[in-house]
Amino acid sequence: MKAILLAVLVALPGSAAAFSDHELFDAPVLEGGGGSRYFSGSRNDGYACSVCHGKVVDGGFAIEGLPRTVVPGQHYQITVRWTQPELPHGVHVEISNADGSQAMVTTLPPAMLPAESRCGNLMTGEPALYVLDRGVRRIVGVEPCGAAAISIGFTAGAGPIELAVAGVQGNRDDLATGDKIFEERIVLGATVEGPAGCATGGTLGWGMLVVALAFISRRRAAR
Amino acid sequence: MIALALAGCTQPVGDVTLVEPDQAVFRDTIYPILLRDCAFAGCHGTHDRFFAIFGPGRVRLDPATPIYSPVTELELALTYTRAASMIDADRAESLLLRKPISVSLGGAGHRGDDPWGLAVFRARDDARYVALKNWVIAP
Repeated sequence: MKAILLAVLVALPGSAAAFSDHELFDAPVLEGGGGSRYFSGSRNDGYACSVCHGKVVDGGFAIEGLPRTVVPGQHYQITVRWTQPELPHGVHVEISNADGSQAMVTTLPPAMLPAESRCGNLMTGEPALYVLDRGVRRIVGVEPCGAAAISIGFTAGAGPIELAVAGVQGNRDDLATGDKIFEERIVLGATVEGPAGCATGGTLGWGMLVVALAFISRRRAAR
Repeated sequence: MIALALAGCTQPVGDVTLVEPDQAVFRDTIYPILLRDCAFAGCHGTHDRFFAIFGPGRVRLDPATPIYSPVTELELALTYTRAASMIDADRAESLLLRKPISVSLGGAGHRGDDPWGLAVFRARDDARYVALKNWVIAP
């Protein structure tokens, strides 16, 4: 009886889930929420969108302004952009120090956001960007409402910076399958100031750069 | 009812004795942990895996179940049965406890380690892991 019942249960096809509302990431798991999992792919989360949406298939995402190395105390600005804003996109970005704490991450105030960071890619649209401060973490996200890009600033600390970007380009079928996924986990090595004031790569910096390249190679090989 | 029926089938088979861990603790404490940390469609939230976990906000056992409806008795029963079947006679060495921790902590190795190489539970004193362990090893 037990075997028959389990066989019937397992033969049923499953339906899929969605986190189209960012409040669901914080919602209790028994209510279908993430229970404070944000799926940014950062060291804090580990997992990113692909654990539910399947393997990574580039949906036209790009990271602009990414430095090769970072100098402690210096501020940097990156932009995450996607090429088909007419499709729903959900994005989480986390920029952290090696201990998981946020790297003094900044975004423009809502009133100053450009059209590309607003719903409908319009200056009259509501801000699409949201910021979740959770303990030492800061997660910057995008509502799936037609924005095309977000810009994020950060300030390098003494050690390497870890950049995690996770994005889903939905195909409007309300299923987790068939969507396009973008995931990047990049470690930016810290440089040390040389005696003449120029920035030179320290041992730690080169080491972390190797780690970053290894991550990128591994991800490309997996595609 | 179904949960009880399934649990009632845990009887000695040859020299293997299936355990019956506490169902109330499972429902209130363990199931939410498994749902949060394991029940992803690409991991254990799928019919493709023996250790399968279904529930709200994830893959539903019956696709007709609305995605955010509360967990069903069938989902709870199936998850309980599968989890219980991963508890060995030597409970502390059960796969259910060894899979989600790193090999360096005595883990059994797990494809679910994240791309940073970190296990689901990163320390043996992680509150969720402690709860799981207490449920597994409870008499």
